[in-house]
Amino acid sequence: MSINNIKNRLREFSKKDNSWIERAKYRKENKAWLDISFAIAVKVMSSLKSNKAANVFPKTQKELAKALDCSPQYVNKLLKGSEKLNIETISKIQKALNIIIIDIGLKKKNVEMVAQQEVIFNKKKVIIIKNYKKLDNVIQCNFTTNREHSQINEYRKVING
Amino acid sequence: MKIINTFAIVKDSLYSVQYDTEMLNEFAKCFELWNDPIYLREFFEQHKEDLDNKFWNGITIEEAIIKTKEDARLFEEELLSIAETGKTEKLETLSTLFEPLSKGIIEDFEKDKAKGMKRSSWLRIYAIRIEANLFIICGGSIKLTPTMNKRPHLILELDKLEFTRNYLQEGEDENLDFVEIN
Repeated sequence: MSINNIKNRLREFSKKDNSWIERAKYRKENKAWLDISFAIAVKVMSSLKSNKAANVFPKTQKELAKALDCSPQYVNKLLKGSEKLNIETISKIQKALNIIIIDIGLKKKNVEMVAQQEVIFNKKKVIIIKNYKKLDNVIQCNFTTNREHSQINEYRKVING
Repeated sequence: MKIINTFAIVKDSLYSVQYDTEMLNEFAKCFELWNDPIYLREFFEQHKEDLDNKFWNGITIEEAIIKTKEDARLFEEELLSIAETGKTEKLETLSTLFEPLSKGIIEDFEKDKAKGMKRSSWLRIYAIRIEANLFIICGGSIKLTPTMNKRPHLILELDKLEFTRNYLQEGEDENLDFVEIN
């Protein structure tokens, strides 16, 4: 019977597959961080594609490698979505592509609440602003003119509604 | 096209071919590709027109990539469960997961709708059923169209099925069935 022939041939000549089952278990066990790495890769790729359409640097993997001061091979690895990225690398990517990957969640209202509380404790308004030594990720509020401004694009959008 | 190896994924139950053009067997290759953002991006850009069909509800390329990975994960977990215990959580086995191949009549979607689209996934794994619980995987694809015979990448899958059947039958009259999981 030819079905039996086929079966026997398969049994006799087939190698055991270890590659799929090991990879499947790996993907299952590491799902949490692999999902994040994958999502970052997708976002970075989209960013490169839209830069390409707008003819803005960096628009290729090679240009991104230059911007990140790393090898094109590393950028390719990153875009494969299975790299354990550290915070510094993510930070550099954010800067190079002008995107936000990790949102530290600084909300406009929280900043106002902090400033108001300090006023309650009888500090002069000028001193409050001076005490925010690093104004990078802050919405600055000028209490005299009641105007807010920020050095970060994303927060400017929040301020301007 | 040449088959250079066959692999036993689950002994006496699930096998997979490896073609001479590939580094991996077809089964392993499917899941590597479906988890590769670079491959997926290129694929969806190439098939943007199919993705824009109103059947897919205006999904973007980015969303399609994320959906593929998630569908692949669910798919893989089912198969891992079968590989480890012989059945899935829903007590499905390989023989219930594999269905006869519909090469592409409009019926395809209607049939899926009738069975309630438990998972509207565009992922497919193609195999030959040798007997009730014995399958050999020949390939897989992302299928964005109702038919297989109008897209080169799907026609290739039909060719692989045909080629592998001939390889197995060695000219005998058996005529084994083509099947797919979706």
